Amino acid sequence: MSAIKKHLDTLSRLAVLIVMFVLLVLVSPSFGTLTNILNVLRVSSLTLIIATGIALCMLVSGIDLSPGATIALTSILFGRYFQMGHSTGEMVFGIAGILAVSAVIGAANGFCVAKLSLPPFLATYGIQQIVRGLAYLLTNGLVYSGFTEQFKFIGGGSILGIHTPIIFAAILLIIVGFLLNKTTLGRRIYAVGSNRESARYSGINVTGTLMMSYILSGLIAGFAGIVYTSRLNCAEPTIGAEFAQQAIAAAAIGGISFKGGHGNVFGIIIGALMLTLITNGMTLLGIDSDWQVGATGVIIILAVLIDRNTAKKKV
Amino acid sequence: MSDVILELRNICKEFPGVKALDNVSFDLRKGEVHVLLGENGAGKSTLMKVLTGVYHPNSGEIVLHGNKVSFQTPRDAQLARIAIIFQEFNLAPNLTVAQNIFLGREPKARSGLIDRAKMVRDAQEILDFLKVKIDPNAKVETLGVAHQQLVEVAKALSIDSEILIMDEPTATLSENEISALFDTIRNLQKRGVSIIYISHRMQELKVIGNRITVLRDGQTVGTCEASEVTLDELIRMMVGREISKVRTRTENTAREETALEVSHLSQGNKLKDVSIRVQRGEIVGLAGLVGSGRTELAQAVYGITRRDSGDISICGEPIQNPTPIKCIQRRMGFISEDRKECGLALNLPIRVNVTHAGLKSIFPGGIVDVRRERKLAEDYRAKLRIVTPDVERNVVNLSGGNQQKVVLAKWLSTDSAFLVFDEPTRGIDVGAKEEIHNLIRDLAVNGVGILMISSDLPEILTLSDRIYVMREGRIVHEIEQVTSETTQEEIIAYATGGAEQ
Repeated sequence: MSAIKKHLDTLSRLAVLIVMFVLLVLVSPSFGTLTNILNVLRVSSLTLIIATGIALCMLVSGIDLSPGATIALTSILFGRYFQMGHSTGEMVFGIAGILAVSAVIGAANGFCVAKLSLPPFLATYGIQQIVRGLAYLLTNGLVYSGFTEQFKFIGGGSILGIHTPIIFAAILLIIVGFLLNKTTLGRRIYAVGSNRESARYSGINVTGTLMMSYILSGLIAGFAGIVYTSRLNCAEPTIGAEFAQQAIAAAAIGGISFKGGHGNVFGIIIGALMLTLITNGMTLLGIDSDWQVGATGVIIILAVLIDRNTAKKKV
Repeated sequence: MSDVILELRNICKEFPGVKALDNVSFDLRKGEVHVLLGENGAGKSTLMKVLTGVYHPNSGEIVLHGNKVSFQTPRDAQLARIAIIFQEFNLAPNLTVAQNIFLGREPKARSGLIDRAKMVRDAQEILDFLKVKIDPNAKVETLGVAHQQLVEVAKALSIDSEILIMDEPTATLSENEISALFDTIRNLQKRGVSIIYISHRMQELKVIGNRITVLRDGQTVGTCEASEVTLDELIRMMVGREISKVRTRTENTAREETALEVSHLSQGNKLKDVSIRVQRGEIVGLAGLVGSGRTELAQAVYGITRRDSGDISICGEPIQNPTPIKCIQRRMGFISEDRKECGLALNLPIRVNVTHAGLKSIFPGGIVDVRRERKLAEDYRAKLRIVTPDVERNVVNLSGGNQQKVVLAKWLSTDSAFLVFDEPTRGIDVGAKEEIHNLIRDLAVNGVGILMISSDLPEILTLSDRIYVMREGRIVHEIEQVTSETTQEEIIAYATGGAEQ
């Protein structure tokens, strides 16, 4: 009984998602096919990966606007410096480079927020601009493409018929879920997000915890950069402009509170799937893509309203 | 001077479970300063809130100029020309002095827009009357506390108040500022303004007050002429005689090891050359009025604020720049006064809160054993009798007493050797209070050194082995051995400065 009560908001979100799913199946028979469901999951997976990182920042009552730019920069770096790498060793080296750079970007965000006490929105917006600026400077207007087959498999392949991004997203969610629920770092993240002052009084290293959240978000963005570059098979500085927004929306729809300290990985999954379902459903229904953009906004607001009201009633 | 303009007759105000005001009567004459005196929780603030329409009395009446009135909102009281200046000012820091004085009542030009020039002129006029040199165009945030307070006074005058309530107006002022304020008060008196003056400071009461009314436990103890009463008499009235001093600790369990040693600690004007010592197994009470520096002392030791000078050592280990992390490593714990702000993550479950202070020591590998965590929480739930259906419940849903027990559980699970309790039983019902007292005693018996800050004098007297009294940032008195002969009067006399007269 208490378990149900405790997860009530997650459950009510799940209910909204299921209702959306059922409606779409009823309206459009092709929606329920395995191919389409896998497609929905594949499209969701990138948002899901980025949202998981941002959620870590939201849990410590922050935000991270930089993942889109991080994806652009890391993909350019990979294209410029590792594109020629045809051996597995060179590819691994390139991937490690991407992760290192993205961790540094995350650390820069964390430094601005935790050490300089800048408002997270502005700090990460500023870093985002710097990072994207670097991406432009590094490309000189070039687009890098033509990666190795090995590398292309990371984002574009499939194992047992399941697209690799789905598998990566699943692995990431398991890791982050474990981190949040079963490690002291997870406890610290929730403690700092829930009440920073009481965390400090409890001897929790608030600065370190904030730093960790932003570094992890950066790392996850770098990881998303690898998957995305591989799937796209090209690198250019303009990519990922809307990724952060979309991922934040997914996390928020999934119940990660902007105030911090509240939300879990299941919520993020539900939020990301909901966002994808909306677009996917409209495409299947043959709605003109110009109409889809605005309609998505309307549906998001409706979904959040319904979710909030059902959650309120049951509590 | 003797025409009564305001009368509060037989005011009763009950809150669930508490009789905050019990048949309190009070009157105010034109042009007098009437001091309202009483310990924390005696009912002074509640009475003023009833007068200004914040609370509605359960019974009793308010008579203003011979007419019975009933204020539904603070706005009604304001219209009746009653103004109150709280300890925490209600000023908008980023607006100018003039804008603050006329906030919501800005003079309008014919165009309907605010007449800035007139507003500044009018503000200047009031400030001139108060004989204070404040620029009406200065932003309030640039002013010192004393000037901000005068802006509040100016604001009260601008609505042409004839009754002015001042709640602890001198609590944050320096000597010079106090004498300037007293000049202003005398000016106001000449103009026929009557003042209700709430204060703890014994010395100033007789300087500024005409009459003094003492409240205790929500009842009027008496009203006397300031010139005819001694400080000793006032202290006796404040404390009362009937409180029994039951000392339940029979043997002193203090041990050789020192839990806390502070020498010559100073911090701005908040702490001045403070030296104290707490042995393991000993309960040391830290008494004093609100704002005397008790919490500030504990916070400086715990590294919440930075000290200017002085040495601190915890459990025998000196500590250079204290932080909560370093203090906890040296086995100190801090049960803060404000459990909602500093003690608990309210929207997280009890189970999670219990391990917050001991994450490192309970789960040294960094991996949380949730089963062990739950067991720990369940153990404390049983041991401290935390009333809750289960430990998965978020702390926010618990009552005050049970929340406090969760804070205690958090610190008990860290195996501390030195604990600071800041107002451990404030806002807690009697039953839980007794349980917490027993727990504090048990801890001491088991060798934990305890520093207990409390405004509840009976609590200090029943629990402490030794007592320090603070006033204005200094340790002004030490009671080395608390016995059944130790009285609240002794503490109050030092805490208020009455003992120096």
